[in-house]
Amino acid sequence: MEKLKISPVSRIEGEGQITIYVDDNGNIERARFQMLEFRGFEEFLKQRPIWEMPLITSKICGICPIPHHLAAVKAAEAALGVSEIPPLAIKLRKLLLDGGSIQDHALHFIYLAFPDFVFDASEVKPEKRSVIGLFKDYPDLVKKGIFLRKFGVTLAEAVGGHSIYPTTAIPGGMSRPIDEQKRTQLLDMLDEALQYAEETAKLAWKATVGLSKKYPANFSSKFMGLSRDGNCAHYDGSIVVIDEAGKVNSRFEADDYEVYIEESVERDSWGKFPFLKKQGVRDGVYRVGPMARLNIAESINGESATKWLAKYKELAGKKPNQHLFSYHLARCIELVSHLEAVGQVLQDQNITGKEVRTPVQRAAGEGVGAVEAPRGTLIHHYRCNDKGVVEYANLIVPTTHNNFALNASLAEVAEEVVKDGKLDDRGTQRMEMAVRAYDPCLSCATHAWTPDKKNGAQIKIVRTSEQEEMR
Amino acid sequence: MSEQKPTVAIGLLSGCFGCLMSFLDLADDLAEVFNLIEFRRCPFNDVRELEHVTVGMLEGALSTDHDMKLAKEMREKCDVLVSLGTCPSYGGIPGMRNFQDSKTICEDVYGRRVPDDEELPQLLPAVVTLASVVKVDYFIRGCPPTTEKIKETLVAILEGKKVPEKTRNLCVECPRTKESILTPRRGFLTQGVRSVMELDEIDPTRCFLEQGVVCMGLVTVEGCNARCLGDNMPCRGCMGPVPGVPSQGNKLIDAVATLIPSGALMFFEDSVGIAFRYTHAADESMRK
Repeated sequence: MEKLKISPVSRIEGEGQITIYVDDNGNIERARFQMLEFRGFEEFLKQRPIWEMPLITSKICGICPIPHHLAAVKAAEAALGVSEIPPLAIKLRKLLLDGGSIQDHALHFIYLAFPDFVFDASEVKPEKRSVIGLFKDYPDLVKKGIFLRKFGVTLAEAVGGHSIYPTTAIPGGMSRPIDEQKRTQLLDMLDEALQYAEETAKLAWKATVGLSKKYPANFSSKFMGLSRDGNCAHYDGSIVVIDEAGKVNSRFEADDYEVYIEESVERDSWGKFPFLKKQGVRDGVYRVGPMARLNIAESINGESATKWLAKYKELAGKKPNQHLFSYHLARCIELVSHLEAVGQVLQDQNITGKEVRTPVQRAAGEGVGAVEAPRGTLIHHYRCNDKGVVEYANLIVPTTHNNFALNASLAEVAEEVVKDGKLDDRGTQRMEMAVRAYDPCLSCATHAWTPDKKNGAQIKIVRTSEQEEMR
Repeated sequence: MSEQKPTVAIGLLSGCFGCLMSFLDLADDLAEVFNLIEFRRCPFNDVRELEHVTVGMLEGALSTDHDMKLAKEMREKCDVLVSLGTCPSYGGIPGMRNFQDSKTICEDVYGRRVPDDEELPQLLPAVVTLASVVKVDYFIRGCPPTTEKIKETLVAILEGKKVPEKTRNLCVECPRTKESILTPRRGFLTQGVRSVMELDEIDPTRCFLEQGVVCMGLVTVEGCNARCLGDNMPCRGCMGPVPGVPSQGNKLIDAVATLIPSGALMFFEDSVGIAFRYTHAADESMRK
């Protein structure tokens, strides 16, 4: 057997590689996206106080620290038996999540993914295929990207303290309110940000439609995401799974995730492979992230985003969008939606009110918290003793949910671009474009894993024959 | 365009990309930076080969054999090596895995079927600091380092200058006031150790230690603008120790012991996980 390697995969968040395993007859046996980092969070989260979880788990990821911060605080509140926090604190947390997603989506689409749409690797040098190269040829676009990020970062700082590693969400609410000056500063920036987001969505539309026609993809899956009464939700809601036809497959509260999701281990990846328990490994493959959320959503926040959602839905007829490049479009539609939602909330002067927390005492308990991170559904699960010390921790991150799907997409592209056991520059770029569509976050995915000892669940070992069928 | 622009490479060890986000937060100043330097292998472009460069920056902790290889290769291929952030400098948060040995972690996580494909990096027995493996020319501390600090250091490197070292503790930057902690007294400052969430009111102007909440500020080096303190949260020590202090963690535990009744130390939950949160891997006293 031969191996083709792309290492490191460029323009993604973290150090990873693609390995394509080619058999002696030159056929693609499988393709793997492999992460080259290891950290081991779930192990050292144990023995730490549960109120420290929002501060430690935000360090899992420098790109999406905010969803970790919030999933952790929600899980901690559930474990400590906090049934209610001030409504203002919930509003602030939603704003914080919006700010994080705005900067994240802008970063991914413009800084990391966009160079692929204009710089073909068979013609353009690797140094140039970057945001720096973009800056020379498309300075306006990059400036817009910088501004969108700046808006997201400013918002996240206003609410969360730092934008990289927020600190203000604590069990019971927020450690401090936001101030009026920040509110007006953000409102002043809002129109410009909205205009740029709108333009970005148009670019994404063009890129998505063009690329999907040029490079058809057949891989299809189920989708998972949070939804509240049919509305695209990020901070709260139930977890909804839809099937390939768009019908609801299951709907459950985050607390029950173990009933619905199982994880398998394969020998060539540090990351585990979750699937829907009921359907089993073969049929239980699902995807999360912007494409999943919009496929599931019947409605979305914001006037313009609502129009975009309708256009998005038309793309695939009555069925869910399945093409991996639809991720880009969905991401940018969300960008518009987040900004519109932020505008509505910031118009309200009461957002600077002072009632943002209620005191919470340490207690024994167990709790699950789920939020939608930019890349998809994020689940934190803790159990603590009466001193508040964590005894069990389990985290399922978006990049892991997408593990099966990402590898399947890679195998599909590999079939097309690997010729005579070789990969040229454009083929390499095509492989990487598949990875980038999913926007994997390696920092998150390499935080490490703990099997569910509490219920004695078995890790399922996937055999090669099953892998074959999955492809 | 000048041919002699200094070149920069960035390598990612087992980290989280947060330091690079702080770099990207240069925002409007990015254009200026792109003009000053030329990026070679880095996560922002498609260059995979590591050529010789003027400045090499490494983010993340040394946790796997892949990290180790990359760190050594980077040292060979650059004139100036920068330890970017607290992870390579002190082990940072990933260094907390040193509480257990790597074999236990793997077995706990994967059971008997630990992934073993030869393409996968293997875990080092423990996280180690970059300076314990190769010579480091500049350290940029903080989790994440401030955007200003990254810029200041880059400019200093390009000009061949040293960056003035910070020498005081974080209390000098903290906006909060101390009162009873500075008053000579026979009694203890506080009766126990509480968490922020348990306080009826979090006083935004008073020293956290006086409110019974452990704050790492007094054993942590200045330089972060006391951001957490301004947000009504205590310091967790991400900047690392004040220069000359061998153990940030032990220093904190000593300090707390003088402030509360000695028995109350028993109720300081997870003192090691707070005191050694960012420096476990660098702390000689934590070696097994």
